[in-house]
Amino acid sequence: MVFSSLTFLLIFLPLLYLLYFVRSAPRWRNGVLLIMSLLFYGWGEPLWILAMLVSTAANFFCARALTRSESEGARKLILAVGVVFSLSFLFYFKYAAFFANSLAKLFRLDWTVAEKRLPIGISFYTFQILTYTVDVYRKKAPALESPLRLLLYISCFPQLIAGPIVQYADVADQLAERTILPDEFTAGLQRFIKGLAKKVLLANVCGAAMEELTLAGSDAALSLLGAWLAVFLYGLQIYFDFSAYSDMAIGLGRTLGFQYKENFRFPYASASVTEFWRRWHISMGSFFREYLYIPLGGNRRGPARTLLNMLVVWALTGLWHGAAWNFVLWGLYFGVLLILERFVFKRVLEAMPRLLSWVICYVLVMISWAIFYYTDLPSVAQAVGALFGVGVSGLTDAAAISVLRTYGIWALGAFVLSLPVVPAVSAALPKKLSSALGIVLTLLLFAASLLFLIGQSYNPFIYFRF
Amino acid sequence: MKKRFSFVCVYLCLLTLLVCGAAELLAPDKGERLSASENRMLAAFPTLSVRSVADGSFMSGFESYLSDAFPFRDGAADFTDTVMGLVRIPDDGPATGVCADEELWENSAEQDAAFQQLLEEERAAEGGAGESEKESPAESAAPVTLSADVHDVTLWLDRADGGRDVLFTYPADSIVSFAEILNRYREKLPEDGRLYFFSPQVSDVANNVIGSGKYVDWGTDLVEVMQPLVDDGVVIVDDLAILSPYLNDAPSALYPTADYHWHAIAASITADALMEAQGLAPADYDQYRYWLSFREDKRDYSTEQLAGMSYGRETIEIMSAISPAESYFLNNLTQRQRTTFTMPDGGYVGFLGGHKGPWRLIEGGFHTGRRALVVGDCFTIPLIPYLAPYYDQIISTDVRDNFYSVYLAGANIGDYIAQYDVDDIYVVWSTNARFYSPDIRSRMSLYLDMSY
Repeated sequence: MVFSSLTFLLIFLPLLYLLYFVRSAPRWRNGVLLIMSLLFYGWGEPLWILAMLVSTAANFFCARALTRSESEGARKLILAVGVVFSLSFLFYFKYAAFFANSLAKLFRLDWTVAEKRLPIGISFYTFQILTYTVDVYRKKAPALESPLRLLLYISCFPQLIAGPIVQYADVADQLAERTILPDEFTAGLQRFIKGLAKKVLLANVCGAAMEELTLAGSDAALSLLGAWLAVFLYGLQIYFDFSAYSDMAIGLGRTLGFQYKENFRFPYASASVTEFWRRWHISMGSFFREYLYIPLGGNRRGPARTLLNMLVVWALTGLWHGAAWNFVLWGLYFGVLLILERFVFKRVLEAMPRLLSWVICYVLVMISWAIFYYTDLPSVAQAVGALFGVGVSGLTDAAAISVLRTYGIWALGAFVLSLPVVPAVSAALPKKLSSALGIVLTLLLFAASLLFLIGQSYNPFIYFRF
Repeated sequence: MKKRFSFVCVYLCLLTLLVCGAAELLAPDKGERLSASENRMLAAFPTLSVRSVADGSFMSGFESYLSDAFPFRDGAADFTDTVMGLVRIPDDGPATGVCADEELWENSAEQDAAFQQLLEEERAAEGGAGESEKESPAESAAPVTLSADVHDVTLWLDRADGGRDVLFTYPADSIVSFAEILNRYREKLPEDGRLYFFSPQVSDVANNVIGSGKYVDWGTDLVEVMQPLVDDGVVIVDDLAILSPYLNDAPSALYPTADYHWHAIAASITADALMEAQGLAPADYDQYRYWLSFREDKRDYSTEQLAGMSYGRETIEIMSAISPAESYFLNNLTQRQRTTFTMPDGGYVGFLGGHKGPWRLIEGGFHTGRRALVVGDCFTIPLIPYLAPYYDQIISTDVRDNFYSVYLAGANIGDYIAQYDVDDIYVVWSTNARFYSPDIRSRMSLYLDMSY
């Protein structure tokens, strides 16, 4: 089930609120939330609940064992068991076929391993399970007494299948008891509507434009304009798609009493790649920093080790997004850019006018989407080459012009909204006017989103496949 | 005050969701039905079973149903179309525009005139073989002249008394010439690609046999003569043999009596035979039961209007399309604009008549990884829906005079084959268009490779 489906909006959500708020006892609310979360997850693929249950149970027992164990050696062993167990699930479903087939290709072996069907959200909930076991090991948070409460943390539907990746220590207290003030509920719903509008009115339209362009591009080489238009539209689609999901998750969490951290802060306003990654998918960046980069030694073991750590982290960041070499390449692309920014161009960037560094950063990010989009390396090479005029059919082509005509104004609007323009305008207006406009806009966006949702069938969530 | 206003607004949204949800659940329309504006069947309520829940098909079906059963759904679709239309920048003229109306065709006529000389030269070359341009199949009932290698092709009718009457003769040299053209088309395809050629008979021919009492069957030696002349990958199809068992025993009439085209059923039988020959399972005829809805300038033709359409003294069975299907005008190689499947002008709506375009792109919503090109006359149009389940995209062109514009095409047929990565080609010329005539041969030959 997705947040922008009518099933969720018209049936699941009202039912959840009715059941959730009928009683205020924490146990009741946790029970309702757990059952509804499992229903939410099992709606698409009921059997995959078992995988989540097994992984959760294993880590529950590991955490309990960690609490009881005194010896550091034993604790490390228990931690390793928990981590390996969780990652083995992820590896089996997501990466086993990829690595096996890559090895077969490398050694020219005549066998192929069929790819497994990927349980929805496995990359996200595996990381959440890991944060629980590691946080208990680090004694940042106590182990839970109740396996059901751990299951609630893992399966809590707002962030279950597309993030933000919630670290256990951040919500440990909220799992026990939550206070929901009317203002919080109202603000949460407003945030949800904002996310819904971003998804339905911006991401879906940019996606439809992108699909039209790639459909034409699949027939022949794109023009230079077509190639840039494609990455521009895809960049907008993926941003609005993913950040919309985060907005909706954060908003829903807030209505239920959970405070999730921000996941996006206008990443396309960044003037450097370093800044971009502080604004884009923040919860994933935090996870890799806290649970991988720092344990690897971070930047405390000299420049060479720092470089190696960065490359490892970024290669794995790429691989987390998908079992294909283009994702590894995409991660390494950013790893190399971050290394260059940190060790080579730091002063140049600091001295550069912000507008120029913003343009450079924007172009570099757009190039990254060409790597990200195609899962086979020859197509990646072709797409990146096209951005530099290699193998293009010309400067412009009819398909690109047609897409520009049909979606250009809409995409331009989306681009403006991807920058912190609305907060700037809001800050410039008198507070009362700004508030009133905000509320009226919320109502209009809600109505328009609902109409678009009903009237249009294009409604995919890109980040579901990760 | 602000807090209260905000509170009220947000709860208004929640209430809207609640009311809409209740309306959907309390007043469901569980039946399968057609959406005229989208040209597809809307989802019905899914079957509930342990298996359908376990594999998730019930839930996905329910999501589709809920989305499709929403009240005022068409109004919402119109709203989104209107909003998107408001921000759409209009086309700036015929130079880069899509041929959407007669005015554009009139503009193209002047441009096309420049190519007429080329066509005349090509026609002269094709006609140099000696046959008469004016010769009509119906007029040509000359006895068959057999030679050792290649001989004239005949089409005959089998009499009830066991005798045989030759109806047409196709000159051997024009057959050889046409075979060479087919070979040139085949060369444009990938190695595993196939080119299928056949020549359906018009109702005037078929109705000699159907219910006549005098004749009981028909036949031709087209395959026998032509197949040895073509390269590997070119398949000459005996359409007469395919339809023969159905001439007097079809589920419904193969041909009308008031029009020379064929009915949907004849096209579907032919398409099924073509697919079976390729080792593919023919699609269930039930898949074709949905009426295609035409939409031109916001004018919808309802299914009832189509079904009730009549020509002369009989009601024509209008071709039904595979749902979902999208149709686009193509010109200048890549320009495309959503349009009806056939031009709803004159009397020939509903898959009868040739199509202007000069190119059409048809997407049936099936994902097979293959694409087909269809070259031919009005008999190809009813065939396309039946090819749709086997191809991602079908592009179609009718190169006859008044249906094809060199100027609007913007590129030659070879370019289109490459552009759309075509796997298979279907060349379908009815008796009426006379594939072996210098005119058709010259057009097929010239438009394949001509430079722009």
